[in-house]
Amino acid sequence: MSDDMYLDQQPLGAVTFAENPEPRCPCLLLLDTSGSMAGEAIAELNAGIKSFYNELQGDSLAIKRVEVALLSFGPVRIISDFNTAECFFDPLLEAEGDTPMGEAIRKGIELIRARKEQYRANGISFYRPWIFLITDGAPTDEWQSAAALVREGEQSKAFAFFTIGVNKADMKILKQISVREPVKLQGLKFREFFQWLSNSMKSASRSNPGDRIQLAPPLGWSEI
Amino acid sequence: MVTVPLTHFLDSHGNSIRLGKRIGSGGEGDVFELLTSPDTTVAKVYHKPLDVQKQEKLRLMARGCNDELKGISAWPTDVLSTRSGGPVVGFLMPRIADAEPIHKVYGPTHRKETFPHADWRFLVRAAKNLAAAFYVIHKYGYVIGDVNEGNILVSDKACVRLIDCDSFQVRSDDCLYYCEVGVAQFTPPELQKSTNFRLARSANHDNFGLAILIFQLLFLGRHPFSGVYSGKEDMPLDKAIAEFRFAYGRNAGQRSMAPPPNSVGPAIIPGHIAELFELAFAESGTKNGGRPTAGDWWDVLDPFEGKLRRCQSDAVHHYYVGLSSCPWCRLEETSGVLIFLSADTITKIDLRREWQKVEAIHPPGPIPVITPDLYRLRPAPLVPAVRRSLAFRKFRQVIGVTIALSCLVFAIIEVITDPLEILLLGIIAIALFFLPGIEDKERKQRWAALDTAGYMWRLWSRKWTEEAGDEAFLTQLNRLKDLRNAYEDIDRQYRSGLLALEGSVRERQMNQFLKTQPVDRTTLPRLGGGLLATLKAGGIVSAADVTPSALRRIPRLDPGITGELIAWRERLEKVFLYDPSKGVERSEIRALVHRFQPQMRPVERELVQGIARLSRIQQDVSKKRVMLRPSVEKRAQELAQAKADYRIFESAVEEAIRQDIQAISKRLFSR
Repeated sequence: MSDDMYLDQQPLGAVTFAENPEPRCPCLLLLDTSGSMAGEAIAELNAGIKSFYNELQGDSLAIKRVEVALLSFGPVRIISDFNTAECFFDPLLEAEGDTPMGEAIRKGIELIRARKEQYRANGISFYRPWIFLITDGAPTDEWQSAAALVREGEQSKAFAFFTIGVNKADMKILKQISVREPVKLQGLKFREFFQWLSNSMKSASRSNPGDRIQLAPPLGWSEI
Repeated sequence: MVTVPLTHFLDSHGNSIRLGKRIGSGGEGDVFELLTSPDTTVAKVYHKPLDVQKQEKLRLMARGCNDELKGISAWPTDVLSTRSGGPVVGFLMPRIADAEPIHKVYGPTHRKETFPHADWRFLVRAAKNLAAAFYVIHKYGYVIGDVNEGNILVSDKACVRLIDCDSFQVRSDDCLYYCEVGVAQFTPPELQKSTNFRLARSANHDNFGLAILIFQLLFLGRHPFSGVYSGKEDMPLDKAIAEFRFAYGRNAGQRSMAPPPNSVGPAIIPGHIAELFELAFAESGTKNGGRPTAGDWWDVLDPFEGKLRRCQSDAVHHYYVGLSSCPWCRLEETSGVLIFLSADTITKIDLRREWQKVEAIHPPGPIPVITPDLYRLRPAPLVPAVRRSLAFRKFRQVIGVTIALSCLVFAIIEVITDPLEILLLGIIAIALFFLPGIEDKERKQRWAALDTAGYMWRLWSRKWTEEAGDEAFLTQLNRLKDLRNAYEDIDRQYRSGLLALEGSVRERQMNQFLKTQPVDRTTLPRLGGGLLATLKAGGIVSAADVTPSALRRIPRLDPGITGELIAWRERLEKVFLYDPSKGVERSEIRALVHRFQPQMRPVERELVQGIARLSRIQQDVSKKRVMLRPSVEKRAQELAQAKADYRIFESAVEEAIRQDIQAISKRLFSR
């Protein structure tokens, strides 16, 4: 049974590529859903993700090009693998557990690698993937190896890694994980953040599928 | 500086131009309807003051405007300023309505939604029209520059229109006005390295973008430089273009490229057209004039339209007659994707027919049950060391329980009385029971897997029931049934109103006819002169007056006569011929229509939209079922597997503890 199921699944990816051969713009969200996010924070995060999806779905090019994957940590779970906006999965995340950030980053980078393999095998061009790590705490597991992977990936231009700190996030550790300067979220302005992100994705999905990164300044949601 | 949005401008002749509502907004400016000619002309007004160069460019373009340019683009027809002789702040252009960006035509998913009737003939025609549009622009010495998937529009008749013309490159005798933008996907290799577009561009550069777009139109949206690359590193499009890696080309292999799986390419078109792609994408194309021109493309695509054949097995498939079999059938078979849709017809509102549509929508039926219980799975085997450790632990636990119980018994029968001893024995028992062995790592792993599987199953099963259930479908179907009843009800009222009108008209006509039948003309033998006078005196002059009530008012009338008169009238009524053409006054019908039409309209509209909605819900549910099913099943199966995997620990630890606690509590209570 299980073997058949996977045999059936394999060509599905390629079929979608035949129907929609547009270059892909992958975006991975690493979301902290540890216990400290419970209450308003997780509700705002969920609302933000929903509006993010709606925004992308309303744009005729982005809907074909932007692919989003969700990975939550506390514990690490792949909520949804890479999909174009036509078939996004927007769950209501629940807050629980601790903050295994290191594991989440390692798993996320692996997801990106696997998706890029699929693009390559199916002759689909892609833009440099974006990874956004959003956390309100500090890692509770080993994160140094993950930070090394991030540095390596940034150096080889395999992806661009951004970190967003919420509330009492440990900005010092975030700074050690990410090559890029971490950004602090203003209050719980997840919706503003996702609005900004969807705008950035929309304009990125129209630009050059290459290594140039064009991000608007993080205005309206960050503490800069 | 303009701070308040103005609605009043002057064209170059000083004529007043008044703007209507805003219909579009972009980075540079807004587009407005004109109050005077909203359907044909629109105005673009810039957000910021323009530099002198740009103003001059727009003036030049407007001066150069002609019918050919206007026919294929939103060409500036005149410039706008706020005061006579003032700076240019915007321009007028033809309105282009009912057209979609070209990416919605070449991309199969969007084409099927936006242009459901479009077959390959449509795509070939769009390619030819695209070449024609480029031809006109180049003919007058302009260069598009920023060729991209968003600023070329296609109508549902496959006509092509270019927009954003103010970014085109314009040349005057002494000056070159640059096109300073571009999109990498359509930028030729020789310009890929440039960091900005402040440079002279040529028609040959445009012709690269033209070839890309024609390729995408003909070959289902595939980009010619997007293929399977056998090298290790990433191969972004701009790099592939810069390195001439045409994935379908004659030399693709040498450049480590191959066409993607499930794609079609130049193999399905005649060799001489395929050759044009080779020329357009090869190194030789970078020389000025090296690429096929718009005219060259038109010259091959125009006759090609006559060389298409309809597929024997699927009438919506059209392909090049030179092929031995239909490439679309083959591609649909191998990819499992429906590439072209059959044409759909638009029907008039006709309840019976509308309802047939409803009945044609196959109900999704109750949601397929997916639960972890459906899966009987064998637990993953334990490695021998863990199995032994687990067995030993069970043994330890039995010992621990035995010690605990005997300690209890001894305490009860007072063999052991020292609380310290009891405590010690208790600690030993607890340690034996709870101290984990090496199997505990495995248990924790399996517990974590079970926890995650349970969480994922919760998320997915909720989504499954919410999105793949048939509740929304049934609700909508019931809503449609209500609407149908309401519609029929109004329709009935309307028709009975119409009947009543007709009835009264019939009566009126009949009355008129009966009036032309005077009583003296009756051939009734018993109706003599005296009686006739009596009748006339009683107001009964014609057959129209012969009614039972009127006759009753005539004093001392023989009932037999009454009967005969009535029978005479009835005979006349039978010979009366109703003329419906002279029937109901239009004004009377109109009044009826005016009363019922407003009642019917909203129901009608909701009904038609509701049917479309029902169909969408049905499609959505079936789509969701197909799409979500593997994921949901996977989660159910994963949960079942995780449960099965954990069961061995559950029975060992949990069950034992539960039984022990039950036994102890039972004992305590029995005391």
